[in-house]
Amino acid sequence: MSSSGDILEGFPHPMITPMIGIPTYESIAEINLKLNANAASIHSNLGDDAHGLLALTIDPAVYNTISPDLFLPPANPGANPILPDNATVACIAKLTRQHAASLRIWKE
Amino acid sequence: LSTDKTLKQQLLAAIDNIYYRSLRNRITGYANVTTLTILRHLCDTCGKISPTDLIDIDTRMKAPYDPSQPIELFFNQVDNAIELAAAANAAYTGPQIIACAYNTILQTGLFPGTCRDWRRCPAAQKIWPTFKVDFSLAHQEMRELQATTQGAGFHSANSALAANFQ
Repeated sequence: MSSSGDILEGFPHPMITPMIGIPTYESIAEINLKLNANAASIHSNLGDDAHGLLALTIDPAVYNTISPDLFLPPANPGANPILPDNATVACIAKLTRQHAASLRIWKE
Repeated sequence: LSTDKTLKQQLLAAIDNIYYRSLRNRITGYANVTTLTILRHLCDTCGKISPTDLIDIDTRMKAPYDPSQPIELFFNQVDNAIELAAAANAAYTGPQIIACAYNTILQTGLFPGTCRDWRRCPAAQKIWPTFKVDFSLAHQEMRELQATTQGAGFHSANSALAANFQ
């Protein structure tokens, strides 16, 4: 799992200038634009695979206008994989791998 | 999770917490609040777009397009409207955006072939990014064609013909 510092370093806008005064639509939009660029710069297979994690900073209604695939936020897969009774070794290995992958995606 | 946390830290650092303090939990702070929730809250409380603005946005979105200008200006006009309408909690749906953009382009009467191809396109492919790509190419082709005909002297020949008729 990447640390917050690692993620920040990879952003196109690692520093966002603090806004002074009462926020207006324009000033919020300006910050939102930078956050959008940062979110989109993170590679993710969620959504259409082309907009990174852009769905974290824009409304789903807007996201749906730019992406043909819906962005489905990953659910918490839990601490351990759920293994059926009498599962074979191969099945346990597969479920463990899938759980590890789901956990990584959920944490990213 | 970690990306959202990092984005949230950036947002919280950029805007004074007086404007979103109501989202703060007494025990957990902003731990369970997403970046998008804070952005929505800011738009709803400070960046409110009035109903009059909303009508203006709609009018600007449907404004006629001048084909002598780069088509990017038209796309930008639509993109701005999409963004502002979403911020006003009155987001356009995909089909609404496409219908509006298509009608504006159709009214120019300059892209009949691309308009016909677009009408025949399956509904699933009729999305705004595809629309932009298709009509950008059509606009580019139109400009190239104009440049070619002018370069070949047809433009001046037509002018001479028009002068003869007069």
